[in-house]
Amino acid sequence: MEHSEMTTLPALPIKNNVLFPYLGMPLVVTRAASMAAIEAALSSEDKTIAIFTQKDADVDEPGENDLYDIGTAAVIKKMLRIGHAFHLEVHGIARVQNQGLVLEQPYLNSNVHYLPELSDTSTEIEALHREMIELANKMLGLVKPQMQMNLNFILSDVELPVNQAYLLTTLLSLDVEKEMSILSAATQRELFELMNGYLNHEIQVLELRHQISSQVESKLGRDQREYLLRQQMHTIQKELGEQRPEQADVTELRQKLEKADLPDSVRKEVEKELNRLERMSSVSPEYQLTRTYVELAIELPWTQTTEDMLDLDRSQQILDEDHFDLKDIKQRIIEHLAVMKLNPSAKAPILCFVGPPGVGKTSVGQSIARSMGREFERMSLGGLHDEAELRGHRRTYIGAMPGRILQAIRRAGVRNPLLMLDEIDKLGKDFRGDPAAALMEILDPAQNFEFHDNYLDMPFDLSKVFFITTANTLDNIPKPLLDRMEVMRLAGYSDEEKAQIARLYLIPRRLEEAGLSDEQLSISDEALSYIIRRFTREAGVRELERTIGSVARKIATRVARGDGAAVTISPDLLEELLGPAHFYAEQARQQLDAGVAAGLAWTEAGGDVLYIEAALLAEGKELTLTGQLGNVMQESAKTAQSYVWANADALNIDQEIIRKSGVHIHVPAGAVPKDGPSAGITMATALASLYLDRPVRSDTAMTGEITLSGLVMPIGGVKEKVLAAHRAGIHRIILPKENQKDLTELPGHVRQALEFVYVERIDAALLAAIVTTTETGTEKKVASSLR
Amino acid sequence: MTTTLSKVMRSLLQSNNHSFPPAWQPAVDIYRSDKEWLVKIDLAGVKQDDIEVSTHNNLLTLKGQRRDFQVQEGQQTYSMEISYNRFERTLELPFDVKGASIQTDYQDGMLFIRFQTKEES
Repeated sequence: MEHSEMTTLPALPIKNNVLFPYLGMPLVVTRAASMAAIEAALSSEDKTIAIFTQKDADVDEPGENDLYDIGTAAVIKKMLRIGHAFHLEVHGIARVQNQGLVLEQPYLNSNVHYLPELSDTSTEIEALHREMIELANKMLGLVKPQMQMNLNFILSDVELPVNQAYLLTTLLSLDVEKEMSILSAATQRELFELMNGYLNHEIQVLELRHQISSQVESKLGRDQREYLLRQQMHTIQKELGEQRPEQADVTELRQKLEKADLPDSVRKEVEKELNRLERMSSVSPEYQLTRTYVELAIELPWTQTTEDMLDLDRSQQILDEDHFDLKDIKQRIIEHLAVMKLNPSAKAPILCFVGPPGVGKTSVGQSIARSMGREFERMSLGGLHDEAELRGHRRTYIGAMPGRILQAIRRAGVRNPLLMLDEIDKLGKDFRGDPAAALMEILDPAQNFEFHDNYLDMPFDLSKVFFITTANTLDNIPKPLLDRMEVMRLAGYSDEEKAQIARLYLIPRRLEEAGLSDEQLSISDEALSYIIRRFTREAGVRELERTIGSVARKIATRVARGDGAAVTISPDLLEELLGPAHFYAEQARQQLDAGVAAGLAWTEAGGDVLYIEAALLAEGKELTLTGQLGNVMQESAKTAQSYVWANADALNIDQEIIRKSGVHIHVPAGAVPKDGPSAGITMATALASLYLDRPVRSDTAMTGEITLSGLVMPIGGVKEKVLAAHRAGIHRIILPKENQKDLTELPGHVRQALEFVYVERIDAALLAAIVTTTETGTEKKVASSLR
Repeated sequence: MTTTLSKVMRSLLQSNNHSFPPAWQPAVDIYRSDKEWLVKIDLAGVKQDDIEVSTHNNLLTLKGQRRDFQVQEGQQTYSMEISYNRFERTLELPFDVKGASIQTDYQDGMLFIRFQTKEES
């Protein structure tokens, strides 16, 4: 080719790129002038065009000054018109020098001068050339070692060292200026020196990069490795159709969530947690925590309820079937059902059953649930001393759980169960908080419709829950808590009631358990009464039931041994089966000495007859009190003493005796702590009897609080006390006048068997209690002094 | 690392066809018959004067140029796939060229080169 002469070629300006001779380049051309230039070139025999790089890529219609002088003559190899653009493949032929542009509407023609091929040679240039190949190899080694062989192979195909240099520019990412400096190089020496400089620079950058990345890599190495392995494991599991275990969990929970009937706010919250769970690894400790939480939130009965059974007659029937008597409670339940029938949105009452152990508080709860058609759940609060037990721990704690209330609701599966909180009087309390205080929220209908459990952290409606609490005594229940509950007393049973309960419930149950029929074993009334009096001493019927069970088992043993004869239990047979009686009937003392009076006491196990004994001491003014008396009782003893002393004259008591001697009051069963004011009247009677040296009537027992001025105040626990007196064989009972109303609680036969003396003042009680001698004079004296 | 290894270089390194620009390579058939070896070269549109054939040992070199003679002023091109301008192809022949009689013939855009070797004759 005639490279040294001048030619005119259409000029094609390109941006951001330099075309080297010997190399090809794809181009997309959209500028009208450039497209015209290409058309012109294609209309020529040899399809040649001169390509010049723009100095500034932003210029749209470049003139002579906007282009570099040195360019490349190129052959258009392929061309395709796509839409309004030309797609070209151009291949550089030789370097050209632009000698001037001629505007040939609408494109530019350039007068170009073909530059001679670089042909200077020397040993030094040879050395530079080899250095360039060496550096290129080194660089490629850093980038893609597997390509090194290829490179040498390719370069061996390229004859001219100059073209090798041009080819190697494609290895480097040089900017336009640097590429132009290579294209403009006028000698091989200059070209190789430039190339070696750029290659060296690139190598340094690469080496530094390697160094940095290897440092980072060694730091990240372990974590990265674990992550990659885990990722691979997941991929493998996915391929095998196995799910990640946690994924399976989440899917299962999601299905549950879809089926569950939740309020929107709860559903949103649960979904949020589920999404969090999905991203967690099952080994993270928080995973289990969140999972348990989501499970709870889904399983809680946010909306599920049972329909209340509002057939009053049927409910009454169920209650009667299960329990004897307990009229008050049954009536209250029926009332509530009636209210529910008329006003379905009525708040459930919060009842508190108070009574001695074994009277059936818990079982009546079950029976109520059955009669109302509600789910029954019970939990014992006895010994509970941590508020968090009721209200749960915050989820931030490891091992946090929802409170017992929510757990019970979850077990019940409905939000309107009958929830029985047993032993509310035995709540503990310590530095961690007071569970009674938490109970106040739970048992307050004004607050419990949005009960806040720390674990759940969402309000839950407890207002449909029918709460029943039980207690043995009200004394230990904090007053504000007591105030929220409707107290219903279950007093102890009388012997007759016990016998009826045994006939109706206990004996059939125990016989069935022992596998006996009522023909094989019958218990005579006499024997039953013997069991009640001589083998048990309790307000409830637990021990009674156990004893009946024991009898039944012993008969069952006989039957199993082949002695199939029907047995009727008599008191004699009982001794044979159960051994000697455990208790001697609590009989009233037949004869009382002066200074001894029968009092009546209330205990958690029912009532008791209590003899208060007083004795004169030879000297000493102080009153001696023994028998584990509490403060209130001690004070009431002092009151009694002061009353007697103060009224010595009226009572016809010799002042001399009072002055000379001390007095000692003892209340037997010295190991049992006693307290309360209701023995006041008994102590006063005992003292009066002592000073008068006249005994108290042995068939009479008494109870009542006294004042210093001689009034008798009402007391509690009348039913239990009277029953105890009746059991003990007392016939006459002295009661405060105001307690007369309480006698309606007593079974009719008990009331009829007893004589009651109602008193308003102590002197009336003394008159009724102390034996008057047959000597009329003394009688008169006492009588007149007492009146 | 693609930043360093430009796309062009990569395509060059990976292709097996080392036909570098600017010259294009004509397609060649080689036949052997009882009498001779026949090399057929597709040189459509190339003037006979523009073809240069030379041999060196058993290398056959073809050089030349295809000039587009069917051009009109102001024509519009929609697609161009035929390679114009310089071509160059060097073939390694599967036989010994030394002492062979060579005969060339150009017909209908095809160049035929016949080699009659001693062994074959």
